[in-house]
Amino acid sequence: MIFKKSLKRISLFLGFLIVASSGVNALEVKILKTSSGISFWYSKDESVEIISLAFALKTSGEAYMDGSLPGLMGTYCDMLLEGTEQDSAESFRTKLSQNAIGIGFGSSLTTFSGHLATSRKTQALAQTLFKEALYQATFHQDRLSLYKNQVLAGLENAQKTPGYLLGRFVDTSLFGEQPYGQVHHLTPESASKITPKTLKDLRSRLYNRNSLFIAVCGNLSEDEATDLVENLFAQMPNGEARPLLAEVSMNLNQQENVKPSPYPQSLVRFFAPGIEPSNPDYLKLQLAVDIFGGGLNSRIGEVVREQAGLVYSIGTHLSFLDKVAFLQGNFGSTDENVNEAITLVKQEFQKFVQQGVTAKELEETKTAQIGQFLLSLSSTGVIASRLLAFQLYGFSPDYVQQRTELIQSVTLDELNQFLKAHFGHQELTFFVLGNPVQKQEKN
Amino acid sequence: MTVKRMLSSLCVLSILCLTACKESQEPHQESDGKQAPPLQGASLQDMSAKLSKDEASFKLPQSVLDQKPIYNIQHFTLENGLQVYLIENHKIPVVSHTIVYKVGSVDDPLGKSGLAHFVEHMMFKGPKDSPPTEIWSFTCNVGGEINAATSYNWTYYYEIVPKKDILKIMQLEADRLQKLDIVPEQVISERKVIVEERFMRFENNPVGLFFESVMAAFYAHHPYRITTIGWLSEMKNLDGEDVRKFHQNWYAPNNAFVILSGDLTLAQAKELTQSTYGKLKAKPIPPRNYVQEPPRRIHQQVTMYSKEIASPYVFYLFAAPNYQKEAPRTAYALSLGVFGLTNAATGILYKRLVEDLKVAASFSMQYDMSQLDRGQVQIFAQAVPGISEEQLREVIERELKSFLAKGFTQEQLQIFKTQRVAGLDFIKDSLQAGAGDIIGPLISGMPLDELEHWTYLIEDVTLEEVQKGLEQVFNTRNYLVARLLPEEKEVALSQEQLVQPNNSNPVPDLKETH
Repeated sequence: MIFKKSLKRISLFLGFLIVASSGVNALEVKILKTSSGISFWYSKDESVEIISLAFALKTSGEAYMDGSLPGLMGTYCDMLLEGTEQDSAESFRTKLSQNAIGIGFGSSLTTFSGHLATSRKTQALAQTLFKEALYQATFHQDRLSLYKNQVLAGLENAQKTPGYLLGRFVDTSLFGEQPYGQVHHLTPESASKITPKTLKDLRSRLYNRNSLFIAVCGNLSEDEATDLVENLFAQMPNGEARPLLAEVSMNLNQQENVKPSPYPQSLVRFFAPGIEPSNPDYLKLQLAVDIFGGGLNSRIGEVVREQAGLVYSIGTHLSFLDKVAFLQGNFGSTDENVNEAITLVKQEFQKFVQQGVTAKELEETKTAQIGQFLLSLSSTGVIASRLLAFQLYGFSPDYVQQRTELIQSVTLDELNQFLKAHFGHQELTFFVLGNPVQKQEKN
Repeated sequence: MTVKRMLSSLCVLSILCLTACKESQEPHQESDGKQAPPLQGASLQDMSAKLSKDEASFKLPQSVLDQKPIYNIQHFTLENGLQVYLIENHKIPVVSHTIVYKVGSVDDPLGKSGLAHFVEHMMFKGPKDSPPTEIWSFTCNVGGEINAATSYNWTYYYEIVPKKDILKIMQLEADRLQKLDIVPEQVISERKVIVEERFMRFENNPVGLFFESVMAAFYAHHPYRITTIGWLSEMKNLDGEDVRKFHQNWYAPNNAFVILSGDLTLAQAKELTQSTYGKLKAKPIPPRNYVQEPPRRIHQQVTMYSKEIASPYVFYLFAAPNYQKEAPRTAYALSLGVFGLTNAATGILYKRLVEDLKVAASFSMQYDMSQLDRGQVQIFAQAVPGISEEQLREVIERELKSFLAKGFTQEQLQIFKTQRVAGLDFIKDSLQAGAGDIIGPLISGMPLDELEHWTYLIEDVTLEEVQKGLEQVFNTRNYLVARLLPEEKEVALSQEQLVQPNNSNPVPDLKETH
């Protein structure tokens, strides 16, 4: 870690020159602060003419909204691009398109977020349009009606897809009546209640500097970056950050939960307890899960796809929401094969927890994860979104370097002990959308 | 925003191929000094593979060629015929490597549908630690990215790795090009995998089944009628010998090209390719299965019913000229015209149907200018609740006719052009942007000069050319309209499929409107 002090600007806190041991990438990250006190992460990239910015407001996603208006956040995000006080929707989109300016907003269960991507030469217009959308969208009744009709029409068919059916089965089974178990898209009922005023009221209470996280990457100086952030976010109000959700419980019943389906291929998702990124053991679990299910050369990839041919794709990853973290896996397998696939995954999981991983597996995964992360930092947009995610996870700017060192330092014994302690005799919880054929039913 | 997106309808990457068709790049010899007859009024039924004079004399002016190239592609050919394209990008020490084989599902032998795709899967199989299996584990273990894809006309494999590992990747790739060991047990397990893939993409997805069924109805003769993944009954019978023969026939350095993008110099690229692929020998390649699709002489209306659909979809297919064999210049005009009709920011028909008349919840139009044989303009739409598919079709056809009667204005065309050529600065922001952009055009046989200055070809399109291109496609009654309807709307044969005495829904004749 190389500590740098800026001679230019007293608002500079820290600077980290992040150089991977493999020499693949160097990424210098600084924390800057604007004149009105907004701090953000910044990384310079002079190899391109592009400027990318990503921001998010914590505790501002759909799960934090009024449960009686499902789809409110999604509607809000999309309607930000449907016309402003200065530009009609058509005029706004034409300006974006003609100047190749990327502006978009989105919401997850827990955050409201947005991004800006522009060439240096169009940055003034890009800033103007970004502010128009964020603060001066008109939510015109006609555009809102049009939007609702489009979304509801799309949902008519989407709600019959196996992916949607399984998703609802999983969410309601795992989280019941809690916010994460609710419907999070527009419904005819919520659509009838969401008016332009609903959206304007939401805007007046959604924005809050104390929930705000920003990352900037691209061809701009520290001064330019600070001016950019100040210009875009200075009018965001101060105020109390929305508190985190109350405790969340997740119903992992360690069984196979089956819901019949009209489709011939069963879809499966499976779960086990996880941990949040801020937990010191997170990287250990990430390494282990990668060995277990991170792709076709993982254990279940090898056994279930490569050897048995029971699935086309299979994989696991770690997920987390506010107050809950879990390991999640998925695959699809025809009704005739799905029980065999589930049995193999169960067997592999028990072997994985009880016998642990091998030294060779651990070393290969360490190299892969270090390389994967560094190779991914190839565009300003990706770097900005990664730097934003690190802030949301509560990491410090030197995380990239720390991550490499932390991964290197994990020993085989530590990892295998951790696996046993973390999972104990826990079984996986499966959700199957399909009509699994029992072996005795064959022929 | 990437240039790839902007090029997407210019050169849709999913169904392209490169075959020798040099006449399309040379001035036509039959010059009598007169203007070639306009294409207006000519339908595709009249088109042959022979280029019109306008198309054949299409050439970039020297003043354009003198301008700075968009991608700065460097090109060389190994002695064995392997073409190599390099886009230098020294942003980070990473290299993206892609090898494209000029073979795809059109080359599947009759009764062996899905074979090209199955071979692509088998290119990752083999005895333990053999090159096909090692290339996957090696790439993953250095944190790289690896995958492959098969389409009608081509098959490609790509890896993104740290620069220090690129030699090893190219060695492994060259090894599996040369030799593929077939392990019988793996043939059985991988055949089950592709069946599972088919179930995921088609049997579990009524829209997927609908598209493959409609394509089968639209093409009378050409292998584009056969789905790339294969028909289930034939997939289940593919065997190791099929794989071996297909690989032996088509996988050769003289039937492939390599794209390198990233932290390499030309000298390094030459050394790397020479020391790996350069050791392979060229071999005779069989002729490809490009039978000519006969003229369309029928209007088709086809319907699929599904219990898994709640709201109907409408899908139109109009025959359209392809870039390489039929209309290298018209293809640009047509692609710009289709963009102008349907892009979500300024598209004329999109705005009319979705925003003004509010009959369509979604409306898109796509033109793949680079299919090697008869291409299509596709229209895909979904009605808003309360509008029937009959009403939606009626409005689409009426509005399309109405548009053709007046066309675009100069001002509109200029806006579309500006939209299409914006964003070139983003090319250098990622390794994949440049490499991804050029695969499709290279497969379609686009000359490098043209690829490096494609924005000029967009800027140069005239209003008249756009109008002619659109009329050429839409001025016919011999199109196909397909409906995907909810099962409950299925009616008894006696009610719908018998000829009605008073035809209340005649085939619209777009040609007779002006």
